[in-house]
Amino acid sequence: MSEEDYAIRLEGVTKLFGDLRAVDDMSLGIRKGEFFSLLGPSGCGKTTCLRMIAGFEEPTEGAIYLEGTDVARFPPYRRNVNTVFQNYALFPHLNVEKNVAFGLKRKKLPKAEIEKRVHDALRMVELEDRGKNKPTQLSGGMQQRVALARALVNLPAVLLLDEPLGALDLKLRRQMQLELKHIHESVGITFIYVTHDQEEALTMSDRIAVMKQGRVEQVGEPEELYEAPATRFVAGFIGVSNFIEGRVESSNGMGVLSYGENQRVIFGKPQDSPVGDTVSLSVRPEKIRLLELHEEPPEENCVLKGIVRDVVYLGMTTQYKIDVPALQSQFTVLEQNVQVASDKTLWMPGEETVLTWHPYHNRVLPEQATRGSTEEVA
Amino acid sequence: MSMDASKVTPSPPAEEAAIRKAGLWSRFVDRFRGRSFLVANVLLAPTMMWLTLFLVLPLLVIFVYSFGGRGAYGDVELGFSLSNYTKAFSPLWMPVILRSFAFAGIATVLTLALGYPLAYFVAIYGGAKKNIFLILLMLPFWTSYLIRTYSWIVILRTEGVVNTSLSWLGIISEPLNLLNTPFSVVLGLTYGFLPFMTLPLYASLEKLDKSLLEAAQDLGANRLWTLLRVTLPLSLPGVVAGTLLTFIPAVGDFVTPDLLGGPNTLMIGNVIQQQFLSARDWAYGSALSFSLMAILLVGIFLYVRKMGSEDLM
Repeated sequence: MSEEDYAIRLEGVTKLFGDLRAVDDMSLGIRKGEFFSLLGPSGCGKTTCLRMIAGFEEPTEGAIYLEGTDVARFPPYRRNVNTVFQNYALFPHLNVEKNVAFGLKRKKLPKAEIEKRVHDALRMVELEDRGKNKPTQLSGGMQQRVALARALVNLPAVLLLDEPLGALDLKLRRQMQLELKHIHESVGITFIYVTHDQEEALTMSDRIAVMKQGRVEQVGEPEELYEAPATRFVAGFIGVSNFIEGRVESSNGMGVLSYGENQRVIFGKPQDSPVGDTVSLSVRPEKIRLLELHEEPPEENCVLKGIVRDVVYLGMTTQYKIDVPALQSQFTVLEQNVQVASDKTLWMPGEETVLTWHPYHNRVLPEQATRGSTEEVA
Repeated sequence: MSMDASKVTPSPPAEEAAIRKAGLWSRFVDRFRGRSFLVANVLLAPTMMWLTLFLVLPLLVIFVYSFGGRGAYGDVELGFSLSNYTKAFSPLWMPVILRSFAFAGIATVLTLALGYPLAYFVAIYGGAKKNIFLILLMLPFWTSYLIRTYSWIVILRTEGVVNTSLSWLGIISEPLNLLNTPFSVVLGLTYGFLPFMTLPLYASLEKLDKSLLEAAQDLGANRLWTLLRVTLPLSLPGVVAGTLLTFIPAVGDFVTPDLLGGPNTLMIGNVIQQQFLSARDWAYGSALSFSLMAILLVGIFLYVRKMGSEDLM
């Protein structure tokens, strides 16, 4: 991709707060018109990253290219980006219209144009009849939309959103997610969205960067992150994963981990994991099928024996926690409640079962490749 | 003063809006009903008694005196005559009243000009050292006002610190006449009332949500524009409180002009003091006091209405 395709490009950006590396040698390209999310647990550096793009923090090292120009040392008011703040940060002494017009007035646009654009922006967020209200007279969701209108009315190259839905209740949040997505599609502006909520990121984003301890673990489309997590951290942070670790014992065209009679885990790409090496795999709960002990799993499949421990009926699906003695660990398995007549409906705690899945679903994870990625975030 | 009450307990936005909607009367009734009425009484009783005994009653006495006359031995002869008030508003005192307002006004503007950057610095950049800065600001107040004012005599007099330094540096050949001038009085007032201006300003700037300053910059405002469009309007209650706390006592001050002033710096406070102490005409002094109070009340009312700070009244 050439430089023109990027709205924002970070190059080796590092931010130190004292000894703390809030952002550590981060490089990232965000494409024009994209809905891009920075996702990670609190303290992973995602907000610091956003604040550096906005200009509220200056990177200790590195460059931030905004439409081709390095703006890393520019003050916020000289960057063509606008921010929707987590706490909205609406000016309490100005009414809604004047809040939205703030940026346009600063640009000294003709009065008629300001009025028109403010009106259009308020109509976009369905608040055209609230222009004369003070921010304190509006609900949280409305204030949120005013903040959005106030930023978008300036038609920035990039819109930055810092956990903007964090303060809203779940229902309103879902509704605003869809609205934001619609607005993003209609204005065609690049959105950079910071969140710690993986579900929110998956719902809204074109691409997501998963961050951990100031570094990017993986960048990809939601499906890519879910189906092909690059690190153990991503596998655990996006959705739920079962982890398998073992020594590659025999490689018969495929990598194999065997656990005694009729128990095996097979995975592809044996060239990455030669015989004798330790390998780390992950598999998603919904890829695993549960069989009765007497049922014969397909020859090519992975097979492990287990004992059902917990059953959580979720309506559409049922979630099982299953002890796997061969691995001395517990698996999470999600089954669709299809209730086909011949099928067993629900497994009961204490029942013995056979877990089986196609080797295709195993992800080979780099063994401790990234710093401290062994702990699991489920 | 009611402005203090509104500073200490800012009501949440929603409640505020609801209160504003409700009429004054129902507001009053709601506040003083049932249990909360009892609580309010218990909490306010000591202050109310104190104020009644030592403010309201003396004011009433003074008010009654102001219609009387001077007895042969400097006592007050009660009566009803408006002559004290006609004398109070006579052209004789016009220059003195105007001078009092001018001195107090200049001192207020100067304290605002000095206090605002100071308060802004402590509130925004003070960080963990905020309290140290505030203590430093209050430190001079651990000394008596009289002594602090006297010390200005040492600094400003002909053989004082300023004059000796300047002539030693060769900047002046003759000592400057600094003391006993309007300059020294305004300087003394400015110095004396600076904390009264700075503390309310600090209180309102400290409350200011810092993310609003970021939001302004994010929307293209440089520092000056942010100051004028966001910081200043939002700290306006502090500015109003500070100017009132400075201007009102400064207008009636008599210690500063007495110690630092000269023949042409007579302020209305000096006149009132003279009537009570030297001239022994308490009735006239009372009328002058009440006239000053009336002028100030009208002025404050107009000022606060102009500044749109309904919270203060």
